[in-house]
Amino acid sequence: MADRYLILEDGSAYLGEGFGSPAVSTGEIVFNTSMTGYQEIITNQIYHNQIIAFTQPTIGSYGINHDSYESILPTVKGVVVRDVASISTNRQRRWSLDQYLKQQNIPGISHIDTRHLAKNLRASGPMKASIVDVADAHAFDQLGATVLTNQQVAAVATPKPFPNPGTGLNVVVVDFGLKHGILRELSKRACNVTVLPYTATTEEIINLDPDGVVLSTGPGKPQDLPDSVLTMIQNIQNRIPLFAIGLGHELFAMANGAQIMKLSPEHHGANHPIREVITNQIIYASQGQGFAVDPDTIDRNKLITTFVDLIDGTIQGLRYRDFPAFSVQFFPDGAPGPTDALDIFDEFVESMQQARGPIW
Amino acid sequence: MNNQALQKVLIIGAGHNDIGREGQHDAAVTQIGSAIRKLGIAVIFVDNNPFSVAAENNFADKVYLEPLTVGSLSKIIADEQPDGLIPSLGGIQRVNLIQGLIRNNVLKNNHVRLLQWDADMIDLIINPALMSNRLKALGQPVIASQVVASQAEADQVISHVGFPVIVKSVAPRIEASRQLCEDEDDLAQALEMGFKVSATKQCIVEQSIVGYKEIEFVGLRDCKGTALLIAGMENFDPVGIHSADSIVFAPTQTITDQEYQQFRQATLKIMRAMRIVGPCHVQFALDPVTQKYYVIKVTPYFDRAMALAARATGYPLAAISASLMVGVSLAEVKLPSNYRKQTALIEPVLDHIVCRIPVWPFNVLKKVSHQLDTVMESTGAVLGIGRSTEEALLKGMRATDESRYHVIANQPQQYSEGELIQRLIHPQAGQMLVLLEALNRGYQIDELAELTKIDAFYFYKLSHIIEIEKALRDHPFDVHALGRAKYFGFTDEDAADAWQTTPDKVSHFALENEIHPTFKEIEPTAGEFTEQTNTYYSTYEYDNESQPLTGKKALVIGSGANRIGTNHGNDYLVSQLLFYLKKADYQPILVNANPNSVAMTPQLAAKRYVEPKQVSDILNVLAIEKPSVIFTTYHDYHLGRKLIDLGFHVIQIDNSLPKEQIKTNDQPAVEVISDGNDVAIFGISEVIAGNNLRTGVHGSVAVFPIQDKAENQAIEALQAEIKQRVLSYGTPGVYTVRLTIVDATLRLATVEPMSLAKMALISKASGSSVTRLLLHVKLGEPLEKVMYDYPDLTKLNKIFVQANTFPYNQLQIFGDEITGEPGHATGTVIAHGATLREALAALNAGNESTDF
Repeated sequence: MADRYLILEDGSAYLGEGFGSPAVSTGEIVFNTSMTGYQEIITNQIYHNQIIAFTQPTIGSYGINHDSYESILPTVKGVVVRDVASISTNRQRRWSLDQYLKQQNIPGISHIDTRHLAKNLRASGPMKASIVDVADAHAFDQLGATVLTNQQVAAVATPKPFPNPGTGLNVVVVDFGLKHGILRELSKRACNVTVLPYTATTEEIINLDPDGVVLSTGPGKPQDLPDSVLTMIQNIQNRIPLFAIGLGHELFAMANGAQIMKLSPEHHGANHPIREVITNQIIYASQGQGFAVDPDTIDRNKLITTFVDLIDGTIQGLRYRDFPAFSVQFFPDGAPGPTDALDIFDEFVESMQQARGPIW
Repeated sequence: MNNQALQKVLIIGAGHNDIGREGQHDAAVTQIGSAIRKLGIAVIFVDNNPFSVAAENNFADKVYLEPLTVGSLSKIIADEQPDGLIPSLGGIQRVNLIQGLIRNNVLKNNHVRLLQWDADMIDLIINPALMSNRLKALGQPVIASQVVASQAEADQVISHVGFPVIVKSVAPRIEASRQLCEDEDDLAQALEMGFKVSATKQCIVEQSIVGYKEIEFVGLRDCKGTALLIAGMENFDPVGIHSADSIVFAPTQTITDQEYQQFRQATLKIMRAMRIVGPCHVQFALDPVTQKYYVIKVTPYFDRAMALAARATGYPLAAISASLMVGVSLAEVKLPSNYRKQTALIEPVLDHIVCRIPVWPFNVLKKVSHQLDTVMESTGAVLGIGRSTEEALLKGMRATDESRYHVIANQPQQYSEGELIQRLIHPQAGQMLVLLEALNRGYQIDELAELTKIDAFYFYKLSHIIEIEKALRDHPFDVHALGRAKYFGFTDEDAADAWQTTPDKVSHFALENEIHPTFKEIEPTAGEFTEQTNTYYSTYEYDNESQPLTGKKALVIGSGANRIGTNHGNDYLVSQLLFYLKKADYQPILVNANPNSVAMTPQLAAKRYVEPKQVSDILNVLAIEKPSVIFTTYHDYHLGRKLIDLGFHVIQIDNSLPKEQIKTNDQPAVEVISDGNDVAIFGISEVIAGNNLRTGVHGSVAVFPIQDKAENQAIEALQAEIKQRVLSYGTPGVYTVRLTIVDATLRLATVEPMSLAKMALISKASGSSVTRLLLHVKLGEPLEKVMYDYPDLTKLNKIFVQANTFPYNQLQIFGDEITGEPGHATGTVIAHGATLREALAALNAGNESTDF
């Protein structure tokens, strides 16, 4: 395989070997410490326009499985690993990671000292980075000149509504860059789901007569989204049970007056202890967050904190005092990651049933 | 859990080392004992293993060297009145013992709380059928199985499930063995053995899942129900080969996130449902085709998987478990300052790969079947740690002390095609070479995966190793080829072999071309946080994290894998050296790759390198640390010589073994220490035949001190001569001076370095470490300074006896090879009494697997 370079905004260059697509690409680089689930991570739209460095050294060892996609088309800008595995493909795993990244036009680079890279990024926070063939001044100039879009949600969220039919409760999912795990968990609970674009208005949502609304996960900075999203949340949350995840959680907090801050170091992994405030129980869940709700800006008359990250004290969950509206920063659906928090989906179903009244 | 504060807890040790008990228990006790003491709770420790490190050096408040029997424990409990009992540090045998204590109401009558487990856990552990029902009730898939008490009942089960089946003993008195039976003959044999070792004369017959993937998860839970996963590990070999005899990788290499989370959830669910406090090891079998899994074993007591999980992740498992055992929650655990405050609560993640490789007793016990099956036969294991699967595997293989070139004595290239296929299907020890040979002969990876049930992933890795090696051979003194080979785990020695030159020349070439090893920390957060575990492994990457320690440094080369033979106690010596080097204001640095080693206990060495010990590996560490002195012990005489030749200051703890110990004789020996100028006598020992102790007679018993007045006087008369002979030997050290009777008078026969067993015996008898004295005289200090506070052993009013234990039962050896020679020993037991008869009775008690 060809020598390639991973170059960083701070001027550092790592020599490695290319795999996947031979394309030159630029994005913001983040590191993820998950032990399993590279396919889910690569296909998670929260990583749109980002380059993902995996600290787990062997990546690709079980290929690409049809039931492990978190989106139909991955939009990451690169995959950085210590070692990419060769595998035999078969009916269960049709593609190797290398083949898959080639198909998707995503470059990968292996033989990188990912531990050093992670420590570097831990200190600096995310940076712009490129995977290139030659690490010369030109490449660094190009990297420096690249302006990354802040329209990530628009790039990955569905432009048109689509259904995910079920026989149970009627749920609207507002898509900001939806992770399939959310649909999977709603399907398991027989929900009849309609996925709407993030631009959906209050009226469009209400017209579908949902029992509950989910604000999905998604990429980027919540402040970059139009204010109309916040208005929609404000209109919905006191009428229909609401459950917000990831970016959705940040938007839910903003809609209720809280401010969002840049988180440093970011959380990309599945091993932080998270305390559920009411029960004092500690759970583990998948996280992928570059932002967090500023605890000092929460209106305590409106919102209560339900989950806290015990490592850095960041807010991991909120609940509206007066209405069945709640949110979590982490990914309760796992995929990849622990399934400790799956019961939050049950809680959502219960709150929808309660809101519907005794018929159910 | 009762919230009344604990004041005193009892820890029952594992007893002598054996197959399956390689020191991991003693390593846990050293850490847990001292951690509990720090919480202000007194620790009482009972063991009869003379090589127990925990039984010395104040790891416990009070140590009893007593037989591990219900009778002796009952007395200790009555005398000490502890208010808690820690049940998980002595392996399965001690669980049986605790069952005895419960049945005899010893715990109840003395108000001793069973810590960590509900009382019914004991029955679940001892009776797999109960465990199986409990798991079923929890909705966990288990294998169809049935308890039988006769051949006829077993035949009935077979008529339902058919062959193959697994037979295991109910309430076994030795580490449970699982026998795979393919036909009637196998079944009859397995039942016979199973009934024999079963306390209830019952066996379990169960459906076979041979060929599935074997996965091992270790979780940790506190009394409040918080539970987390410590490590997920994967066996290279499929179900059918005992997991201790299998190569194991951490983290899992070939399972998907869905599978991984399924196992994580099952592990934590089982721990919560059974209310286990502390760590728990759950083994799973995974059908690689359907993804269906079975729970095959739940182990809530310390075992090799927990030792591996702790070593692999750098998570301070034992120290944290200590707090959990006495009722502290995970959120409240206080760790030493080198860890982050929340480290106990972070689920460990790895950015390195750890490979555990077993070592075998077959170079010594030749007649044993080398076939790998469901019965554990390895005596120890080593770790290889690297940043790729290839590197971890190659370093692990190197750490077994049998490099690939060495083991080729096995010569798989001479196998006929039929033989090779047989070996692929029915693996034997040293199977890696057979796999490499098959690849070399052009077998296809998918075909090999099918034949061996080993995941194809590993065959890609093996063929990559072959490819790298070929490139190395084809390109002598090529920078790229060498760089790549080292990047994937090859050494100077490997390259020298490929290039038909010397390692020295390769090393120079590498240095000239700036191919340097880099050391990385083994810590539980994959670089997300700063942790200081002071434990490192080498690789060849960009960033080196190991900064040399400052101050007076001593490098101690650890004993590596546990092996059969008189060196089984070597790890005790290494641990003691580290302990007393620290007391002597050295910064002790350990190189060791044994996951079960007590020497790996964090508080012993100031810094650890988990590395193989080929010369180039050691030189890499020396290049960083530049210690003022290097210690090598019994196993590493040649390594020590090589380092001396290279100009290093090496103190070799004696190499030669006391050959006469093999003989059973009743002639006395004088145990002495010398600083090179003077000699002090510890006392007089003798060796007596163990014949009259038990059936299946073999071995001998060491007695210290002898009480014969006439002999004592005769030896008194020889003192001057003894001193002269020892001084003529020259070097400071501890020695055994053997005497012989010529014409009815005692005469000096030989002087030889004191054996490890004798050092342990005298240390335990005196309550003061002989290793400490040895270290100080080796460092050049005079006897009067070294010995000033050593107890006067002539005033001992007890007799200590010590004997070896042998693995013949576990290895199913019968006939000629049962000789009881020290070279076959895997463990040693100690006992004492006011008289020799009393001491021997105590020695004999409670050691079912001991053949004296």
